[in-house]
Amino acid sequence: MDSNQKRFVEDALDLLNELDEGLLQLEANAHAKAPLEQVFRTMHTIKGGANMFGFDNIGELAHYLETLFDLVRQGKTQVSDKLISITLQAFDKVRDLLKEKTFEAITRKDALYDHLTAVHAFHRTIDASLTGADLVTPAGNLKKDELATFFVNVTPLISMTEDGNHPLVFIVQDIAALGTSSVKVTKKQSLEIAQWEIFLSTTTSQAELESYFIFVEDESRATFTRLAAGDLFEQPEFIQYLKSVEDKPVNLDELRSVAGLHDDEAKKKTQQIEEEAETQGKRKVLNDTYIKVSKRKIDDLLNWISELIILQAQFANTASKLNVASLTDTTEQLDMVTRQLRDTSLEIGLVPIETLVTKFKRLVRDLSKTLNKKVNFLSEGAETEIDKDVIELMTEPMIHIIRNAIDHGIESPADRKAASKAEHGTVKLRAFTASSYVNIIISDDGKGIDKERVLQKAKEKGLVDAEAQLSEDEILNLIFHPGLSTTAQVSDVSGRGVGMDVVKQKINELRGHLSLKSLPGRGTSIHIRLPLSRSIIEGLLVKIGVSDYIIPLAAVDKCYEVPSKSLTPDGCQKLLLDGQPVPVFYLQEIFRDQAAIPEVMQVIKINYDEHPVGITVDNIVGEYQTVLKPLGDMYQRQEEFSGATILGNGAVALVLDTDKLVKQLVRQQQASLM
Amino acid sequence: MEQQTLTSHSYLTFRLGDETFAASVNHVLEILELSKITKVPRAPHFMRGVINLRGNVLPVIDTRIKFGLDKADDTVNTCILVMNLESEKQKIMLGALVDAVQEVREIEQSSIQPAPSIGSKYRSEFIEGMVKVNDQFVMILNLALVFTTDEVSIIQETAEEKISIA
Repeated sequence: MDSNQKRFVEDALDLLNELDEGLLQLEANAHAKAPLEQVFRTMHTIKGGANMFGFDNIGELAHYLETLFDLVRQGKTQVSDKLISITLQAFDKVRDLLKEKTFEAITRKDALYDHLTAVHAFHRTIDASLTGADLVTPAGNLKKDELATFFVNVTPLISMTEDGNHPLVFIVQDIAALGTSSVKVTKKQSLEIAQWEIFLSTTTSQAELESYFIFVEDESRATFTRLAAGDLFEQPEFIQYLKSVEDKPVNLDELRSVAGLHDDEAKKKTQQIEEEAETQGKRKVLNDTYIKVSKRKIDDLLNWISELIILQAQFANTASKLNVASLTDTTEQLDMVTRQLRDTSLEIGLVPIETLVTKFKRLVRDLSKTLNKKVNFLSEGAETEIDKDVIELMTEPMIHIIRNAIDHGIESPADRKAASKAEHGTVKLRAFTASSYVNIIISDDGKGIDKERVLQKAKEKGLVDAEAQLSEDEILNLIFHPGLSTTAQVSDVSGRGVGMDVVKQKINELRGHLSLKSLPGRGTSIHIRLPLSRSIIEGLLVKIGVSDYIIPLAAVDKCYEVPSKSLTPDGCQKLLLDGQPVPVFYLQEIFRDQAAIPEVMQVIKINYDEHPVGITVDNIVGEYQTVLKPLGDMYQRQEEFSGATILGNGAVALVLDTDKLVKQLVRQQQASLM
Repeated sequence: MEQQTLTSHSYLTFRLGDETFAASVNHVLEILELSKITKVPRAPHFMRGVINLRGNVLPVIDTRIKFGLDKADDTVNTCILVMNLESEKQKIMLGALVDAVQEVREIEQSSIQPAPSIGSKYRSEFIEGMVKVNDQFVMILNLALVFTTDEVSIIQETAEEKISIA
């Protein structure tokens, strides 16, 4: 593929995400104009690009689908489930195709044949109904109502957040786009939406406005008040009033009196306002602009900056030896600037997890349909940013978690009713950044994990002793054991071998952390903690013999000083740390460093699978933030080291992967006892 | 010109113990003086450790051990060949410790003899050929194979001296 074709593939994949989003909105609200336009536009762009760069098969498919949606736009047919499904499936196939490596594979003639046939067949059914009788009134002939200003109060009856997938969110957006509008969202402490208060001047009639809410009647309450004829947004008093109620609930009587003042004179200006309403409808513009940069350039930049950090540290080292006042000043400033530079450049590589959220919305929709469950997907903090590589690596594990939540967690509507829960189950994704970690919490309000069954299963499979007494947490952690799948029946959705163990492993590889909570009947929540960047590591610099090592701070719990006499150099022993017996590994011996053992040794308590384990080092130098460099293929078997880093004095320090190190040591220990 | 490049190539010769080896200069990026090598614990013993090569981490192989020679102390002549190697599986950059680097010389392709498959200490797939220089046989190495193989040692394995993988 040439560079233009590659760029088309990249762009098209982005566009397909937008398309998905638009189609889902349309599905939620078949009459919405904004998503229809968006879907149509996106398809048109894909078609144009595909034809220009020689992806004829994709261009052809996009063309026919575009034609279908054009019929919808002209009011000749309506959005139906069938139309949405056909379109989603067709573009899913296109997405798969675009992931092929070669141009030839993507443009295979027969690749999209099935979908083309489906589209044609569907088109014929529409044509047939059209020739029968012109049943659908063309949109243009509808008598436009006179311009009026409404106040709409929408109160959701189930919980939802603004970036969730509930149709109501889209409906409010659509309503707001019908004319000049001002939307006030009141949120509860939990960020769930308490109510929307919408001021809208539009030519749409009240009856039509009400029809928007037909499908969500059970889940929301909407009240409509016609305030006045004409556009109140033209009245300074009204604008002022809007400002005055920005942070308090609207009082209807007060509102009516403000509105009443201008009811009459406003009537005259209909024409002019209509134009304005149109421009207002298109006001969804982002205030930030973006540029597309190749990943390689960013990687190069980060590489240079990490070299700069190393050089800066070396420079500071030399400067402190010279001890010249003016130089020290400059070094300190240089240090600050380098840090700023590093932080800013690291941010460049971060992308919001929004792209993932769209994927998940789609997943939830598809899954709940196949499984006949009603699932409401909420997301919060979709703007949280994370390394692009991390997003890519996390997609599969998170899809797996969500699949599990819907397949095993959320009950069928009947079961939920029986348990006196809302028919709609909820899957919630919450993301936020705390210190240098991104936290992602995926929770559901389903039936929770059946601990009895997990334990029984584990015993059947011989993963734990039949007599073993396990704590609740220990039982829950069995979920992550390879070879344990709790579904009795392997369904199409989950339980196909890639289990939670793979999820946990992936997260460990990213130096992240995973924890799980589950309450019977109340649901399950999985908390994932990931480092912001894959290459920057916060660690503890320690010395063993002549070598320096970095222990990731995330793993470190506490440090103790222990006289060397109390330790025997053979393998592992138990030490009392804070009154608790903790197995301690004698790293000097394990790393076979010949250097003399100091009189006092440092024991670092680390968390290994929730169990405390100690490791010994000669001394602790201090905290150290550093750039992780790969050790290379020659050391791929040394899993206990996740990489190396260059210190300020130019020396190389190895970065320990404590999880893998302890795992190996434990295994050795067990082997030697046998 | 073209004729010449076809028949003659530049080779770097270096010494390990009593033996002299040659390697195509195409793979050798630079020659470094010995600097502090950070040992990686629990790694195979032919891996000496890693060094800081201008901000990057470069693994260094103890070539003597890889070639089945006894471990010897480093001298002032000991240096590190920085190599860029490509094999079918991978593309890697690494350093190789050698006792001394001798010279870069042109070797006529026609003067290279095939390596004997029997009676040689080294496994034949690692040797591209032999050439006589100043009455001494020099072995031309297939660097990419020697240093990217998973085998610990490249010397011939016989029933009596089976090499165990550390």
